[in-house]
Amino acid sequence: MIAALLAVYALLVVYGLPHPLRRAVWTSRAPRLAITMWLAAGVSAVLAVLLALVLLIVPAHTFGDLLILPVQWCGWADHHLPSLTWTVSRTVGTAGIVGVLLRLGYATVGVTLVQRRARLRHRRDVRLVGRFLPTLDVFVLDHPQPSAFCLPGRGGTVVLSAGALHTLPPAELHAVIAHERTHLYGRHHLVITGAVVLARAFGFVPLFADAHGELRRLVELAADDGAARHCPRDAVAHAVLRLAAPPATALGMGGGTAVRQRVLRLLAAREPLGAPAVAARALWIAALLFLPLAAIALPALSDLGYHCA
Amino acid sequence: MEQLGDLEAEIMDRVWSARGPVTVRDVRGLLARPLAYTTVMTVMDRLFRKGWLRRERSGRSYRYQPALSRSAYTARLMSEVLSGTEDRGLALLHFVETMGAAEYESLRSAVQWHEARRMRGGDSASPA
Repeated sequence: MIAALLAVYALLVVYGLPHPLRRAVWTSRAPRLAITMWLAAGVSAVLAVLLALVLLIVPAHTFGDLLILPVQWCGWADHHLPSLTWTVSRTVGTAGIVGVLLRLGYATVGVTLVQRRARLRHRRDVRLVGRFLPTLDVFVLDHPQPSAFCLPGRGGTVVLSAGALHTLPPAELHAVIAHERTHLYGRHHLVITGAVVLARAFGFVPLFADAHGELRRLVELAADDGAARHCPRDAVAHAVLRLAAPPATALGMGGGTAVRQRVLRLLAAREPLGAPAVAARALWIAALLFLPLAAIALPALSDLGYHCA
Repeated sequence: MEQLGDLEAEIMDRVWSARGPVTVRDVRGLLARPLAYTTVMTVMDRLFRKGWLRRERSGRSYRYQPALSRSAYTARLMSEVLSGTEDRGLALLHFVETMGAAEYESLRSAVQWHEARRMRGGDSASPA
């Protein structure tokens, strides 16, 4: 019964949430809140599925028994753990859990290995060919194309091309560096890594397929906001515009609509979400995280209450 | 560990700046601080094993040259970043991708329109 409820809940989150959340306007005004909500939805769905599978293996009252055991140590014989005979549902439950965990583990290892290798190589390349600029605490690559990026890990490194250093006026230069530092302090790479892992493991699930692209967009908005706390919003907007200019040598990449949204959002400078709106979304996030746990914790607690009475 | 890394960068810098092949002794003479011959030799040997330096025997020692010029390495790294061939966002976070010419022009005129409106003191909702 509870297993079925959890499964329905997981389906609702996984199929029902992505569309409205992707279309919502508030996400651009409160990107950090939106990032949290996407992550909470992902955790919630995985948790609900795992718990539903656990309930196929052991009956729901096991959790209540586990709580009761330490309380009523004397009467533990009445509440022994279920014997391990194999039924169909237990086999399905075990296979499901093993399958989900294996897939997650496989994706995690694959993604982090590639990431680690690339990051070590980039770090070494940057350190050997770049020049460290102590005044700005950045590495500079001697290349004419204006560009900037950051390498996460070990405190993080901000890298600018010589082209960016020459093209950007001082205010915009500081905006770019503040943007990259927000990425590093905010551990945005971990958000992206998590999204990539989930997309690789369960790419057929709409929530995880959508979360990846959305989180990419949202961490950039969050970093723009972080930069705008240190610099004028206009400076951030113009820095984005300047570094998005099509290169002289090649065709542009065409990250078009996302960049357009970033720049115009900074210039429009809409007020941040009000406290009630933020609180409402925080409640949603809390609900996402606690509902799956509540589904098994509440019956267990009521069991406990019944025994204690 | 990190100090050895810094030394690698310093030594590569000297080798790139030198005209033609150099020996460990030459590089040691070019470094700002006095270091043991063996330290410099170890680091240069490591750079050779990692593929950054090429070397040929001359007498009892080696003469080292950079495998690629500094600008060639830089160009390779930058083209990876700019083209986005690496798994995007996994190893690094890029500030912004460049746009196509038409999209860029359209965005630039939108920005100009925005700012003109603000100059006129229109109904722009700018608190700043």
